Amino acid sequence: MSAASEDEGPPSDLEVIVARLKEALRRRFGAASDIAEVDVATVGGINRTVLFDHVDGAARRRLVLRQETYTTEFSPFLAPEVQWPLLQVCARHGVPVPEPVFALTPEDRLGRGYVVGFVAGETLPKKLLTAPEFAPARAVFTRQAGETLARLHAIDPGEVPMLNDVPDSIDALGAQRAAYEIYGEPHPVLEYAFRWLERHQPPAAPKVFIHGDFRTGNMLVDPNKGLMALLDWECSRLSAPEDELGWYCSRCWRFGFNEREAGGFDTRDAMIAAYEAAGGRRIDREALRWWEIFAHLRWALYNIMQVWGHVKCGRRAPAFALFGRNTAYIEYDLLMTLMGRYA
Amino acid sequence: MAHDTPDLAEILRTVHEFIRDLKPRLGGMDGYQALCAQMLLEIALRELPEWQPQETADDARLRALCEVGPEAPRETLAARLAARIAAGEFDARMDELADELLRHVIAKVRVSRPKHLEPEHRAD
Repeated sequence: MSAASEDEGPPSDLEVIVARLKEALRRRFGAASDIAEVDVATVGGINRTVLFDHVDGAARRRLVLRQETYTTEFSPFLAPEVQWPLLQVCARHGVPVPEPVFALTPEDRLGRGYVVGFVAGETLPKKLLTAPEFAPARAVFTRQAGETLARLHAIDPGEVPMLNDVPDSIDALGAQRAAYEIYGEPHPVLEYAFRWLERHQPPAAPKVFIHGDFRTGNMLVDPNKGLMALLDWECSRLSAPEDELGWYCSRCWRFGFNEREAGGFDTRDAMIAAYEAAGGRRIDREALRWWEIFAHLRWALYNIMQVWGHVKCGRRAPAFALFGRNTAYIEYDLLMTLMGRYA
Repeated sequence: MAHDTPDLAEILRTVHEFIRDLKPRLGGMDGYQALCAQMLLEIALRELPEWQPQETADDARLRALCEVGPEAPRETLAARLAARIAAGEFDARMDELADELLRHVIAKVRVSRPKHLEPEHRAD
């Protein structure tokens, strides 16, 4: 017998996906459920995002299927079944996320993933940072980002126990070292960064629930209302608030607006002020700098991971190959920052 | 000099595969030119082994940092230097090492993304 097993990968044929999605909706919301207006938003490196209307009689609701399409034996990303409860916790605490609707089960035969409510908004950094119609959003964004992160970080880590044994939660630097060793490509500059980071560790402080990939491009923004939802929860972990702000403010995510350290939107000082004013923990500037250096290391390793997948794991695409050669300029930014030539 | 992954052969193979897979979706003149591009990359891949890598100033820099001579194969230099850094052998002169590593990384970026460099780093 060749019955589909639980290990069967997610289907890639859109017709099959839509048919199974329809069954999944009917199982949960009744036999009248139907699907319309299907649109594949992106096929990213590790996820597929399918937008559709759930039609139930006269009622229509726009939903989003988020499917994991690729995983390796070693993946630094949280599995969808770990992301799912995080979304629920966030929604409960008023952290803006797409509304969790249901998680996929093996019975759905759609692989691993979940369905959330559609949120209208833009993600493209260049548009957010330059388009005239987003000027009202830009005027309020940093305040909203500060409030959102302060609210997220105030959640009791006891509510997200699934993050306790994530390697990044246990030892952020050690987790990067483990990844670096798996990829097996020697990089003297990254080794230098490891050494510097090991020797300048900020004092230990209680860890908070962080998004882990909060940066321009990973949130939905409305031209007038500003921040609508935080996306991409696969890097969430327990860490210092400075880890979250350091990633956001690092040169990796300024999209050319290097004098506006906070995501290209605003200055680092403005972001810290917004975060603290919203009740966030007082930000230690020295620790923030440490985490900004760490962010470069983390981002370089992410790029190396992509080319490792391309060369060693058979996931072929020009984009993944190019990621490998991006490592050099990330190393350049890292060193220039570490040497105090970049702020 | 030794660049990061992917190396030149891997870059050519990657683009070759992409064009090979794209070709059936292209019609007419685009399809024909894609076939020609695929064949050009196949020529380049066959010719590549005839090319000898040149010893560069960056290779000499890494040799000096590793304290090894020309007998050490260039593809082992990054690993040697990385191991020395990890072992703490440069702890007493980290600033000096940063200057050397900046020159090393500039040499890499001049090939991979020269426009990313500050103007004073774009040429000697």
